Amino acid sequence: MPDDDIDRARRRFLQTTGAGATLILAGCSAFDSDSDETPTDTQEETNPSESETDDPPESPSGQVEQLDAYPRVKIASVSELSTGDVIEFEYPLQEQSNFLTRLGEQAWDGVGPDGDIVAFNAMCTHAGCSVSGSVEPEDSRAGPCPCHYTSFDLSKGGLVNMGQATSDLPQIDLEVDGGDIYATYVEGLVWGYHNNLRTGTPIEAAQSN
Amino acid sequence: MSHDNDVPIPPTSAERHSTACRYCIVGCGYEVFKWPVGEEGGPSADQNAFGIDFPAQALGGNGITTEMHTVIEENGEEYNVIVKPDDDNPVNNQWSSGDHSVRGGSIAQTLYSPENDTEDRLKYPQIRIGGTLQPVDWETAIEAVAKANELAMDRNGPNGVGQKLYFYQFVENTYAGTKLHFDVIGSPNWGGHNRPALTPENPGMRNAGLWQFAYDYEDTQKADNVVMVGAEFYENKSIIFQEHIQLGVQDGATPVHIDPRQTFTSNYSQNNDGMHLQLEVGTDAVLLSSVARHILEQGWENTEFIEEWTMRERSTIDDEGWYQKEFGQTFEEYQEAILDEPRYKPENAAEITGIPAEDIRSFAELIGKPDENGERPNTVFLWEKGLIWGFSHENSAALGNLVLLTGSVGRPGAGLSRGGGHQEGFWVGGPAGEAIGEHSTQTFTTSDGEEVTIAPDTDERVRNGEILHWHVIGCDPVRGSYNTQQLRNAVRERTSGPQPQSADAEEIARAWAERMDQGGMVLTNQEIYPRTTTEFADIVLPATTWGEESDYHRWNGERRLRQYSGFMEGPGEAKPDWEIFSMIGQEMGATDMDWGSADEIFEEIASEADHGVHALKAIHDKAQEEGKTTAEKVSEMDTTGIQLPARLEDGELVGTDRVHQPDEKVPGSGRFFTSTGDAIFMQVDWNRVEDVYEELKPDPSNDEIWVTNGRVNRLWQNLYSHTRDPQIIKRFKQNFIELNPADADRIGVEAGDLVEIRNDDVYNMYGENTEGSFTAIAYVTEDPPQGQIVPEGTAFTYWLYPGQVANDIAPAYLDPANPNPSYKLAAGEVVRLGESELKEEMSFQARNIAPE
Ligand code: SF4
Ligand code: FES
Repeated sequence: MPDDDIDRARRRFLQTTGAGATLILAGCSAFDSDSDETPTDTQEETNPSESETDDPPESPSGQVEQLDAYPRVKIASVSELSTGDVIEFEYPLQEQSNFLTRLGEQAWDGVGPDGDIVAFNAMCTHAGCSVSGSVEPEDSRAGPCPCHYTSFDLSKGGLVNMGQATSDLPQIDLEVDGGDIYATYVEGLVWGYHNNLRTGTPIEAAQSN
Repeated sequence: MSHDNDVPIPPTSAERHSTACRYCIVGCGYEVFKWPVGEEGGPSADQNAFGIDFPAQALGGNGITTEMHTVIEENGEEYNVIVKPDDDNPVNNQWSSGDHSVRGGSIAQTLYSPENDTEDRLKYPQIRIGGTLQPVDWETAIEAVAKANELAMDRNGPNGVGQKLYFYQFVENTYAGTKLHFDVIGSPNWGGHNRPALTPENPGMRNAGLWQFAYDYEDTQKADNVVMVGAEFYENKSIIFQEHIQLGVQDGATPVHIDPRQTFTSNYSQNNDGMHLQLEVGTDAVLLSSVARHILEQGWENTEFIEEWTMRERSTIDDEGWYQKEFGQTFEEYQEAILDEPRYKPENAAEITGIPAEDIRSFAELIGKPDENGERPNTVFLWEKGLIWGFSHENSAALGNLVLLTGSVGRPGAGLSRGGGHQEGFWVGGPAGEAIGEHSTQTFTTSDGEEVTIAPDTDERVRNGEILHWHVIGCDPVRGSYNTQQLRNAVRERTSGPQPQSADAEEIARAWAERMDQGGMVLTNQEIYPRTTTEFADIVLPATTWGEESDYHRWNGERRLRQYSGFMEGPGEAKPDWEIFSMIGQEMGATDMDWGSADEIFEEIASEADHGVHALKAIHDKAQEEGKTTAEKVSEMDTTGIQLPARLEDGELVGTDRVHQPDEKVPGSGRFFTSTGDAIFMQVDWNRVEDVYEELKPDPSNDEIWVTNGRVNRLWQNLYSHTRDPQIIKRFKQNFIELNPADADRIGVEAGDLVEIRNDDVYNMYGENTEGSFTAIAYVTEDPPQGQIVPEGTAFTYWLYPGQVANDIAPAYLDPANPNPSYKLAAGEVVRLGESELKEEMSFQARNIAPE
């Protein structure tokens, strides 16, 4: 069954990073594009509180209110991503969970040697449930969403193939540099947010914890 | 403006308006927030109109998507508008909060706004002068409509005028429109947006005393079985599926989907221990009657119910009316007819329907067999256009009979309802029965040789010349009727005669009189956008719509009446439909159409509506007691509204959850809607339609396959709004046709090819068969994970795509006793034209993947 394949793929990936099943990869800072550290190394080494020392305005709930721009964040290396793998990561704010995958077929805005590496925000654009457990790379599909069954075509920019979502799944713009994959931008509004950069803690700040 | 990556948060000072979705029958509750551009709320609960902290919580009903926001302009000021599902009403808040479908979630993009693609709204009245539509003032336009009516009536009495009007766009407008037509003009030639005559959509049920929207949505949560016939619930009645049916299934209900296609709902049913009965197109009546036969053979029929609640005397049935006399049956007659018909034996029915005999028996057992304690299953029977637009009498009668045979009606978890299409807002404001009885030129000959006058097929009367002025309001008959290629040809020809050369009233009258005398016709199109029918119009009257100016009322599929608030102005000089009808009526001498507002019309309706399934008078009476108008009273009920009929119980205003309960609650009616309150079995005689069926069937020697049609999830009706929402229409930038790969291979087409669907022998019961064709993108999916959506030999296409019109090959077969068309029973040859430019852009992924 496809679900088992995904689980297997995910387990394989997690074994290589030595992390648990719920590993979330927080990105490294925007300025280390030459770095070749593994994601876990990056987490350890990142300078903690750059964003906090800037004293950004705080929202009433105590969260950092905004980022000024989309950071450039390393999320994986091309070489460690096989067809069918699914890697979860947060970007650009904590709790904005995304998935990176390799479809095995060329995709719109896909990167890597075969143009088949894509990343999307995992919050279903219908009502915010996570589709990260329903990603079927071999079918280039995310979904049916566990909540109301929207399915998205990952080869066509996260297009709503069928279901109740009105907008495409936000695609994460990727760049490959020196074999590493960087997230640089989010195309589309992440469900539940009024602005992708506001009302949350930027992932860099997370690394201070 | 919404950017791709942000939306504004409404401040606490934003205006809130209560309404319901502008689209489908489900009637989800909605709210509209409006506030000046430049002001913005904050992300914490005390800083915004929603009272929530952002980011919004999943399933909480308060996320704002970019599709839910737009900016409108009024008097030079810009306003933010958010149209979002409301999180506090029983329709769309059962499993999740503020649930919505892809259609409802994008309403904001359809508002008239300089930011949306809605700029081509009709803004000024126009008259075709010298062959070109030109703006004129309202007075000139209204005089011209009245003149066209006068000229037509001078030549052909009231029959010279035809009206084609929506059934749904609010009671105030339909009341005013039908008052103009049946009262002021007195014409029998009236058609609704989806059918050419004022006929019941489900004649085999309506004439049996069964109401077509008889349940409470929550009944599907309490049922043992949810049977869905010819209705794709997930795609097209989405929130009934997501918020109600799904809960029932989680609670153990068995879902059964009866449909020629293997859709999402089919796969969902199969994946949840239910059934998908994938029958051959058009054979519903045989399948359902075969199920009935097995129930009868096993003695599972609900004798107690049948004895108490169905008409047992032949003479009582005969007295009910000609339709009942012709088709009604006592239980004994029904039983004998079903058992005597060999085609209804499961083995024989299997041949006709393609459903294995054991599946027919299992389904019969599921809905018919009492348990060891004698308890009968509670089944909710749901159906929609797949059943309705086939053989309308046979199909609806066969399903109605199953309801009566099992007695599964009028108690929690048991009942019947159409799935429904649009919401319901039809209120007849004039003496329709009289106009039809006195003037209709269409008759039906009963088996006793009696000629009875029936509601006329007005689309045929446009073709044959009886109608000289056709007033088309809010619908697009040259796409929406049957055999539309031929209808367009007729309309083009009949409107192409003499044209006025100036806007002078006498010149207009001269040209149109001449045209009518030459067999031509004048066409008035009252609309919000230019559509295909508008291409042929002589007069264009721009109308306002949902959310604009007037407060309106209508109800949903569980008869829940709500107020639809007007929260913005319409474009240009557009006027509400009721006001346009009022101006025409007064121009023609009516003295009782001078309403000052939609509220006044609603008051007029409510003050008299004291009986029947849509009784409203209790609301009116309660409002009076409290010193309010009826509209004010309904407004207080916000998005929850009240389920009709409304009643006063001990002085308190109450709604009615379901109809056909044993202690009948419908004012002025018994349990069932007949003179005695008992329901009637209806004859299902396949012989009546078999010859036609054989003719309609695809002819393999001509490479024909079934080309059936219907709704799809994201496209609303004839796309009047969705062609103007880029996010929505980008999925299907052209019409598409789903083909089984086996058919695609045989024809030599692949996904993304542009094909033409042709039929040079479109059935026509009124005369010579005709030709029809339309184009579409081939949608072919290789190896879909849960099966092909269409079986070999059957294709499916969208029913009302502009410019690529599936109805161009829909047969002109209408039931002779009740002229409803058989839109679904179309066939044609699929021919490859070439590669479409959308080949790379379009997704051809499977559209039927249900959770496993
Ligand atoms: S299900 Fe129907 S009523 Fe509800 S949001 Fe969708 S279109 Fe509107
Ligand atoms: S949250 Fe994904 S379909 Fe509703």
